Amino acid sequence: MSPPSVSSRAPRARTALPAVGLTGLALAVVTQLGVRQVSDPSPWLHLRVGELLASGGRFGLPDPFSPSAARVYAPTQWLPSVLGYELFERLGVPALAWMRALSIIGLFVTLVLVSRRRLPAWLALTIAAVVTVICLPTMTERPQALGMVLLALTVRGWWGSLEDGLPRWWLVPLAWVFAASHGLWSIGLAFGAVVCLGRLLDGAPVRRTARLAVVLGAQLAVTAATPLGPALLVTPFTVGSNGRQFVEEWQPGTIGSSTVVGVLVLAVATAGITLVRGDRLSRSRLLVIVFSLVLTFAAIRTGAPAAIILLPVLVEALAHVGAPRVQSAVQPVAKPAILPLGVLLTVAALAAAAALPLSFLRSEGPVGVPTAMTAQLDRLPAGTAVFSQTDVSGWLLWVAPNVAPVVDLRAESYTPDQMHAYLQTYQARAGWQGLIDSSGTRYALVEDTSALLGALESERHWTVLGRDSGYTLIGAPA
Amino acid sequence: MSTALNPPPDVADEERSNDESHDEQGHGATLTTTSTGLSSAEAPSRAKIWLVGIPVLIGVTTIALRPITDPDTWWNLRAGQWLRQTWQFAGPDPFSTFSAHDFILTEWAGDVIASIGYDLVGPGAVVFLRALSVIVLTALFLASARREADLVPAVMATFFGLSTAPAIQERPLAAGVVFTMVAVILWRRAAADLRPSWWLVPLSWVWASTHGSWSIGPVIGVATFLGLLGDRRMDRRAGVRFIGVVLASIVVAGLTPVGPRLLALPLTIRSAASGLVAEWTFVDLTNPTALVVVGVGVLLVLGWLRRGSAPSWWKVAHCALALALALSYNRMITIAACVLVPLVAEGLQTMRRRPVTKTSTSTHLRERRHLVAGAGIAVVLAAALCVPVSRLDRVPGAAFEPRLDAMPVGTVLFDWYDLSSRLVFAEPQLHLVIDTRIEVYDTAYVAAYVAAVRAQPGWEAFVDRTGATRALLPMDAPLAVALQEQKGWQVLQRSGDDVLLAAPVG
Repeated sequence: MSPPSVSSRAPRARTALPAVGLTGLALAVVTQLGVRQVSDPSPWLHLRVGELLASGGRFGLPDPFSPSAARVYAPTQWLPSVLGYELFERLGVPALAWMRALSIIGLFVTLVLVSRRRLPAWLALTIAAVVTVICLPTMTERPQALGMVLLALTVRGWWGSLEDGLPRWWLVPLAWVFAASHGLWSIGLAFGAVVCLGRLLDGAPVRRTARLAVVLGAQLAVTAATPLGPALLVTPFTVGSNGRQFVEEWQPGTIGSSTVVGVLVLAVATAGITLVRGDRLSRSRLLVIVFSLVLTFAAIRTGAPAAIILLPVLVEALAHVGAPRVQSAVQPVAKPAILPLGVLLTVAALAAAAALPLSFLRSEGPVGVPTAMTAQLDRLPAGTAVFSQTDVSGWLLWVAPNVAPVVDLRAESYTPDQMHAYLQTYQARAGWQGLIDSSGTRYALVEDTSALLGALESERHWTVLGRDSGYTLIGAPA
Repeated sequence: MSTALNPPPDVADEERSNDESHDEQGHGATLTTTSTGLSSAEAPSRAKIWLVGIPVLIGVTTIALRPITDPDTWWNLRAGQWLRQTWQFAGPDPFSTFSAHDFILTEWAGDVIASIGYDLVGPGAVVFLRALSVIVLTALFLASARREADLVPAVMATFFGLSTAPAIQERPLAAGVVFTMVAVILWRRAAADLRPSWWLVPLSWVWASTHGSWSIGPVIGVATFLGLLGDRRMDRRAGVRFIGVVLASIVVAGLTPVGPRLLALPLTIRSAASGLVAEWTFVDLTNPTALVVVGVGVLLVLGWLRRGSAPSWWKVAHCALALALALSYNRMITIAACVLVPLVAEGLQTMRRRPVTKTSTSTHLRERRHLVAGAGIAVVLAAALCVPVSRLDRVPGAAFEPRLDAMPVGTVLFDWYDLSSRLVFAEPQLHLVIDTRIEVYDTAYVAAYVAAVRAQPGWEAFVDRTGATRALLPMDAPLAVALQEQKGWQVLQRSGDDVLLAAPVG
């Protein structure tokens, strides 16, 4: 299937009013979805990281958060962590809700940009909304939400290059920001490589493709030029190796995940439309589909990026619906009335502004963390070792910087042996006492349903100090 | 690819169908030319058939023969024995005092055959039955692939199907996979000549009596029907016939000795087992077998997209069904491969850029004779080797059996789920807290069992409620640790990764 021509300008929407109405409706829905109470356990860790970096602190060994950490933590998401911390200092908890809403609005707008020139306004908005909903489980209150927006921008840029063979040099500074924001930068670079390879497979002139490869090389170079240096380039592997063993979102995607189902629906729609029309897909498009499917099943966390990567192929297929299979040179194909960029950006800015007061209304305090125990934890002596369930450990680091979690949710900072010992203890398997004793732990913050809680109460006679939001704080007898 | 080499799918189908009927009527005694006018290649010679056949024969026999590895085998044997004694297909559960639902013996036919074999020759019978399933399946793979492709691509497609054979366990699911392949062949024939075979109806009855996968048969029929609707080849009469065969297949499944309740049972079992039983967990593609099946299915679709020509929509529907099955539950992967094998053969043939070489009736019959002979040799080899192979068996938990045998009748054993099937078979005098027939237990009870094994709060109450005085658990299970450290249970025996515990006296 050859891409439809983009050289001729598509007509604008006949009047701005329907476009404004449609965009306003779509963004109102997106904003409604975007603003909610803070419920993800991760933002607290990033606030703590941002606080440390903003105050001039740095990571090393011994680790500033946990003395048991065996590896130097690389704060790969330093830019949003610092910005988030600064915003949090001014606005409080609603800042987290607002930043998430901004990311979701940003993602939606970027996805509309991917399809805006190809599809009628209503269809571009609808497809963008569908993909945004598929991505929602990933759009939590942490830097990954920003990473998704940057990935969508990267995909848009590289897809443009795939279509017209022209380099987008703005992808280079974008890559630097991406590399400073989230580990999804690696998928952005990989997509660039897929585009270059795809163009070669399509038989595009090597010389023109080489110019794209220069952009890709420049992206790689600036990725290595963040404050973390070239070491950043290997973090996807170091973070991933522990993640694949111990972190749920690094586990392979299955059809039980709504995101995987969503991506498969997009893929089936793309294939179905293409087969019904009898169009031929170029090798580059097939490569993009394969790349997207690999991401879908590689890990839970890469399912949503797969949807973003698949979107332009689907848009291209949809753009052909209703068009004759062989385009006549005499009678040009009618272009859809496209959504004006000004309308899209203006309405998006209004939605972003409206999300701020909504954030204050809807997120008075975080949920899912034991806020009632803040005072108790704060009173613990400095350096107190606490055996914490990993999800809640980020919040523990934020509200009680005086304590030192035995293990926290930075899985990459610990060795596999340490993580195995943590799991053994948390599940009260044979030998569970080893880590408690070796770390000198006298307090534990664990889920109410954990086996460790029963074991500590029954065998070690620890006493419950407090319960809140599904967590129990338990301490050793004096 | 030139049009001459690629007639439109419908035409190609019709031609193939005509060719097949031509052969079957015995009018093709001489080598014919292909429909495109190109001269046909030579039919495979006898030497070529044996050159391909002998490695296939050795490979199949090797794959087919192995000791019993599936712990569920033992429960099926026990069920077969019990049915032969009582001929009671459903009713109050005779095996567990903790079950909450009636026991329904859905896989009775396979269980009875296996238990008769076991009584005659021991575990070797189970080994033989699995081998027989794999051999028959291979023959069906090859037969279905050969209809779509020349010998070499057909053999390649067969090996693709065989790559999933290690997942075929020693239990009625093996027969279910064979029935799936028969159904695939019959539905594909129906798609070609628009005359669905009424043999699918009795097949459905036998299938439903043997394994819960019977519902796949009607599902393939529905996929074929929907695809043919897309192809617009079917008139109203043919459509009614298709719907009739599908409905009749479902109705007869409700007419086994188990009765109409069989129809809803797959859903009940899936709901009960989901999240606890590995084969009912969703597929992830770190499973190499799943990766191969899904990968091949995706490659087929990509090939169609690349060529820009949709094959018949019923083939698209079959491929979509296969991919959906392969991505659903682990137990469905081999079934998905069955649906894919003929499509793979066809895809490989397309890559050769020439139509299937036409063969004379005599050549066709010769090939069939070779296939039957090869399968026969493999069956004889399997029969000869099944008993020695079964002796390589490592029965799960066998080391504990002398102690378990000595326990008084009615002793409550807090058993480990993975070992329970063997315990149901070998220790009928014990009361087990759980066993692999997960559907007979209340959902809340199963959840409480799982929480107790993890020693989550409330485990003591659950153990007390069961009245268990013995426990057979993995050594590092939190419950095993908690029983010893917090309740003073004593170790009676350790073996492998498991431990047998006894409650303190008094």
